[in-house]
Amino acid sequence: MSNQPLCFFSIVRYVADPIRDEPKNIGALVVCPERRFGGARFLLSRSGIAPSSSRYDMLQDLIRSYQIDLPGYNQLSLFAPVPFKWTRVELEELHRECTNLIQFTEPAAALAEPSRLLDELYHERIQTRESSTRTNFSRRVAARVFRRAFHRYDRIDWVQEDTRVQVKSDTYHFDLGIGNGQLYYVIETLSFRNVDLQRVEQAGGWYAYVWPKVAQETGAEGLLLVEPPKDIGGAQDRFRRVTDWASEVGITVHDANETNQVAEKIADELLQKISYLHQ
Amino acid sequence: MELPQIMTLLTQLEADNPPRTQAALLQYRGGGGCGAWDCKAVNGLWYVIKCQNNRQDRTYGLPWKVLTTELICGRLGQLFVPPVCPPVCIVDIPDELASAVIDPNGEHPSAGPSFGSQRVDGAIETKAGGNINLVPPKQAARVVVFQTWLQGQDIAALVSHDGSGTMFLSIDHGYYLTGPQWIESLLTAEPSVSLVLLPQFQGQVKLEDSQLFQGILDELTSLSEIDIIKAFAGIPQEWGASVDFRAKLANFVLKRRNLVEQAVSTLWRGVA
Repeated sequence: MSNQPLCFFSIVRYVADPIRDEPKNIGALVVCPERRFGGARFLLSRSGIAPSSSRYDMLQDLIRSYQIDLPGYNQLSLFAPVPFKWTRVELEELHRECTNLIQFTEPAAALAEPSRLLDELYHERIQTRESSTRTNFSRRVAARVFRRAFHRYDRIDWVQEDTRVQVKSDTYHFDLGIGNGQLYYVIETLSFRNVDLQRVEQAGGWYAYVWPKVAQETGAEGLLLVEPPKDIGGAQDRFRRVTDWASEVGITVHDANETNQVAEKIADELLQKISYLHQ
Repeated sequence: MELPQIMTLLTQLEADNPPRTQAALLQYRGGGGCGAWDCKAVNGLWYVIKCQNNRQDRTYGLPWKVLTTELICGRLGQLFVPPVCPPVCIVDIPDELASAVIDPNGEHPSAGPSFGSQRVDGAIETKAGGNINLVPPKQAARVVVFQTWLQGQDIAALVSHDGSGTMFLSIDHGYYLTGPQWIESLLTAEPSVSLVLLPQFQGQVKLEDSQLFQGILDELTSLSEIDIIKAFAGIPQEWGASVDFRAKLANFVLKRRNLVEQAVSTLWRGVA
C-alpha cells in the first residue's frame, strides 16, 4: 500500500479539426478527492493559435464554460482553480461529453502528491512536448557558471570564452579557457540533446584529436563538460564513443550537471595555488 | 549445457530477486492486441506495461505467454552491446491504482506483477509507419539476428521519429519463441530456425552482405550460457511458468543459437 494519495487526471487537448483529429495538449487537470484538491494548468500558446485572434478568445471561453475560471487574459501560462469536490466521475463526464474543439483524455490515475503531479504533467505533457530533445546547456551557460565561481575571488577575467590556442602555425578555438596569461584549463562543452548529433560527435572527435598537441604545447588540463542523451539508442552510442575518445587522450570528462562543482573546485585550487606562489 | 543442468541452475537462480519497480501512474495506452498501459514507476521511468489480464494472454490461460516471453526476450536483448531492445522490468501495480482506472471496455488492469518495457522518446513503431530507410544496415542486421534467434512472430521495431535511423530497437516480443500460445512440442523437437525479417526489409539489397552480420553473429555465439539462462529466472510466480517449463524454454533458446547463422545466410545466398 502506497503512502501517496490517489489522484485522477486528464490532459486537455485542443483539436483544431475534429475530423482530422490531430490534438495538441494545452492543459492538465488533476483532482485528488482524499486531499480535497483540484487543480489545472494551461498553456494556450501550445494550441498554435495567435493570442489576439478570435479563435484564441473562443478557446478561453470554451475552457471557462467547463467551470474553470482562468485568471487574467492572454497569458502564456495559466493556473486555474478546479472545484475540489471533483472526482474521477467529473473527469469521465468531460472525457465522454467533450468531443469537439476541446477534448479531455480518459481519466488516468496516479499515486502522487497532487500539486507535484500537476506540475510534472504540465512539464512533461504540455510545456516540453516539442522541446524534449532540446538542451539548455551551452558554452555560454558554462561560461556564466565559471565566471560566477571566479567572481568570488575577483578574478572574472580568468575565464575566457572562445579561447584561442596557437600550436606552431595552427590556431585552435575552444569553448572556454581558464588562465591569467598562462593557460591552466581548456574546456569544451557538448550536449547530446542537440538535434544534430552528428555535429556533436564530430566536435567531440575533433577535441580528442587535437588535444594531445595542445596539451603538449600549453601544459594545460583538458576538460569536457558533456550533457548525456535522454534517449535510448543511437545517441547513447555516440555519447559513449565521444567520452571514450576524450578519456583516452587524457581529457577529464564531467557531466554538465557537475559544472558548478567543477568550476568552484578549479577556482579554489587555482587561486590558492597562485596566492601560495605569490607569498 | 544439458536440460538437467539448466534446471539445477535455474532452481539456484530463483533465490535471486530480479529488479522490479512499482507503478505510480497508469494511463490506458491502447493500440495493439494486448491493451497496454502507459505507466510511470516510482523509479521515475516511464514504461509501456502489459498486465496479467491482457487480452492476448486471457485467451490461452496460464502460464501467461505474452508476459513471460516479453520479459525473457527483453532480458536477452539487454545482453547485447548495445542492447537490441529497450530495457525491461517487472512492474508491480498496487491494488488501489489498478482499481482506479478502467480501459475502454470498462475493465480494470490486474494488480500485481506486470511486464514493463521502458518507453523510448523520439521513436515511432514500424507498424505505425516508422521509416526505416536510413537505418544503418549493421543496426538492421542486429535486429534481424535477434528476431531470428528468438523465432519472432508479429515482429515490430522502434525507429527514430525524425527518420534519421539513429535508433532501431526490437519491441513487442509477446509472440516470440512459440507464437501466440505455448507449444510444448516445439520446445522438445529438434530445433529448426528460419529467417525472420521485418516486412520493410524484404528484398532490401543492403542486407545481402555476409560482412554486415558477422559482428552480431559472433556476439550472439559468444554470449555466456549462464547469462542466457539467467533471463529465464525470477519470473513472477503469478505468471504460472514453472522452473521445469522455463528450463525447457532456455534449452530451446540455447539450441537455436547455433542455427541462426545458417538462417540469416539465406539473405546473401539469394534464397530468401
